[in-house]
Amino acid sequence: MLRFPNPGSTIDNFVSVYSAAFERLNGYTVNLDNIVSAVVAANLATSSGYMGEKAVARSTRADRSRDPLYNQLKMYAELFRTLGWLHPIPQSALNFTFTLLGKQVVAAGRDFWPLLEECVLGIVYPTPILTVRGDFDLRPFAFILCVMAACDGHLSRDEMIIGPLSAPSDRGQANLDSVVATIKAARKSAADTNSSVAAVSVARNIQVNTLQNYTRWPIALLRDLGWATRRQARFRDGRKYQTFYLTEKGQALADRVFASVDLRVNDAARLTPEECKALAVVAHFRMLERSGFDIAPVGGRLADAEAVVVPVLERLGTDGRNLLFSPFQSLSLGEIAAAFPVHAQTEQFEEGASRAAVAAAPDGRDDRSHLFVPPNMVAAEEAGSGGPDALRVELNGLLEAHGSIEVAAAVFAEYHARDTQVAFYPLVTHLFQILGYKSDYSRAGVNYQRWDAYVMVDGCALPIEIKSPTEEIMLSTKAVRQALENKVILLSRGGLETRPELASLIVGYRLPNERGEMSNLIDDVFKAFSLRLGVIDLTTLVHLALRAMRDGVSIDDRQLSQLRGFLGV
Amino acid sequence: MLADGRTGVGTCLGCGNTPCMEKNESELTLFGALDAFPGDPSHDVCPTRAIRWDGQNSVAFVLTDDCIGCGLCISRCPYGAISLEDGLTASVEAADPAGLAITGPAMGEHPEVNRSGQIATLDVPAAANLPGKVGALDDGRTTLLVRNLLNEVGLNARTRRRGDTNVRIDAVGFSRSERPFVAEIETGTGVLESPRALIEDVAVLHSRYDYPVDEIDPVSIILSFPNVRSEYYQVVRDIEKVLGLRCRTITIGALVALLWHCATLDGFDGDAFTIGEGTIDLAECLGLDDAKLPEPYPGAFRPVR
Repeated sequence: MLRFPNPGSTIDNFVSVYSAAFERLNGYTVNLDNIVSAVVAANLATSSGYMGEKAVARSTRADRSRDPLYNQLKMYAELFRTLGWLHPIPQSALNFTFTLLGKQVVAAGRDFWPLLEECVLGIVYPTPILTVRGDFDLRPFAFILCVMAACDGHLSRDEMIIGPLSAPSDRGQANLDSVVATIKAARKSAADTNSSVAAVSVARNIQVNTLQNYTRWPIALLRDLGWATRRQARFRDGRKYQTFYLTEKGQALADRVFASVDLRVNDAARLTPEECKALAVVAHFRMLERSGFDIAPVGGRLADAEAVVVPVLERLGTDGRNLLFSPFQSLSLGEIAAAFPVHAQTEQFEEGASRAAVAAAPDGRDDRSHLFVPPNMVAAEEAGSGGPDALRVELNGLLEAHGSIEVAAAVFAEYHARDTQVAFYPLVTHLFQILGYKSDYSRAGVNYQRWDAYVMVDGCALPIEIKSPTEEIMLSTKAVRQALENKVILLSRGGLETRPELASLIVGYRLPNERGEMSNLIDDVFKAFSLRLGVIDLTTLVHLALRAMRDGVSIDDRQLSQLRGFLGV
Repeated sequence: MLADGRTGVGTCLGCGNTPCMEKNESELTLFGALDAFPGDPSHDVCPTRAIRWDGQNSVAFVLTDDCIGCGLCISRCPYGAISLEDGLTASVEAADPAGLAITGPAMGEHPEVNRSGQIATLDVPAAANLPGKVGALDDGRTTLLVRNLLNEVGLNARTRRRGDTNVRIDAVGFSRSERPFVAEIETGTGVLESPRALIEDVAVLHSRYDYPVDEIDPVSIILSFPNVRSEYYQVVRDIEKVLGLRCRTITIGALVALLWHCATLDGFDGDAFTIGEGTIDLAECLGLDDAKLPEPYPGAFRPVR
């Protein structure tokens, strides 16, 4: 399957990123670090919640493969190459120069859309500009338009995966018919579509989520170029699903594609160097003409090239105006240089030290160890005896069955992985009760009390923001905001005794994989308002409850009430 | 009025820098460290790109179907060539009906002139249509509208770049006294979430960029005030009581009112736009002469009862 990276953001921003890099670096041979610096200088990139130079410092990692900005710009660069705006230099695939086509995109300013449209239609595989995994003979976006037109005018995300992006070739009616048949079969029901996507997933050994991610950039283009619009369609079993319908503009473009002569890399390879050079000139300037550029100033050059290439065009059955061929996306660097000789761009851009050489923390972040707190367990009379009998029986059973607290806690958490709020909120309070604390949850619909539950520690309430696994498997920064508000409301409105210096708790199913932003915010809030936010995941809470039952210990009152950061076992 | 005393309807002169369509780079610059805020790079004046360029005749024109009637392009035309036709959508006059224009180079630069007067009264249909039109905009277009409204009423401001998940502050900027503000933009049903997001925004700006907490003004920019019984007001009061943070509230209707009166906003410091023990009335905060301004739409100046 064709894999388009997804650097995020909108098509507007996508073009802005290229323009920012071009305006600062055109004329030089550049590497990804140079592009990162240019994009950050243009305020178009952030990392870990920081902006500007702080973002670069945060992003820079000793292990470059984990450097978020570097990786994001790598994705941008791949797409810029696909569009023919950036070319690798012959000596290195990691050093680039800006192309004449890219320069013309920047020159178009806010009216870049028609030229972008041409460049999108110009994407073709194979291409000497970019090596992609797999063996494709495809002009993907032209093919997507044709498939949409042949499939009742629409195509959904999943149909894009099983259809045009998975086809090895779009050459000839048979290949189109085959893709259309696959899609029409999948339109029987949601289950049929899902199983077709699952089959692609298994065949390619790529997770479905990742397959879907590969469609984000193509879908953003279809939408932002005005080729398609999102609407509902029905499976043959009557159920509705979201899909993308061709707009009038999209249909007109599909008609143009059907009527065009599609010239591929291997076709161009059969031409003599002179013919190839002339064809490149004709195709490029006709492409600019279709994009609204005034090509009168190059009329003479175009006429000369057309004179050379007439026999070729006649053979292909075109006058050159309805040709699908974008030289900057289809020809080798040598052929491009022959057709469009430009000033040398061989000087390597150098600006200060390379980012790779910048001393950086291994993961690019400040030391966060102060936010990861192991529990301090102390003997407690009430530990292990509170909470509902049924829950204690369940926990005891798990402990006996598995022998280890770690395994029992993990198994218990797995049992509750699909709990909704109705089950999860009481569960959290019951676990605190087993730890020997008074704890209760708010009734649904009581908006005045924002907190989902509270736990009483030494006569004072700690509000708890709870996220059940069906709300979010991994806790997010949204919970941080809500826990902060819980504390403010409790302090302002009263109802339960509390003090500003006591923690506001967040309990969820799992801690996020990337804890950077959550921990940043916990520190930010403490620095700005001296408010403490403590985070506990279900497995940890169950672990503590099991220890309370087995060993008669509980978490130290002071540690719980002063918790700032993540409690971990 | 021209220097020679002639008056009449303005006409599109085909300005080379198309101020009705595009902002220049300097307008997007922020003071100090906040200039690194990853803002929306769009130079568009019109949030819906309804104003276009007719290359053949070198004049601007408006796609009325796409125009939301906000008045941004009107406020930026130096020659009064754009008006709200029938009080509904922007329309560019290009025929020079008063014969004021003299022949000059197309797409040339023209001298800056000062704009005064009023774009429209607040009881025209475009004002009443704002909630529907703005409410239907996607997130990116809404933030662009807000940025441009803030800029046009005189505030140095930048809204976040759509798709950037690393920075969640919707907008940052400065009052005329260079006091920073952070803003959350909410035109849907999530108004209640805006105050809690503002606390986080202030914490981030303080902790990561060293602005003192008591020198940052948090602002909710909303489409309409929620119902008078909404929790929103109580949460704003809770925040002030506990953290000493005074969250301000301004509506898009209020910003449009300032724009249409060619008025400016000093910023959000002081008592303006705060919610005290009583309820708020933005008509009293706008500094416009007409104390009894008609509300452009219900909820634009005061909570709906």
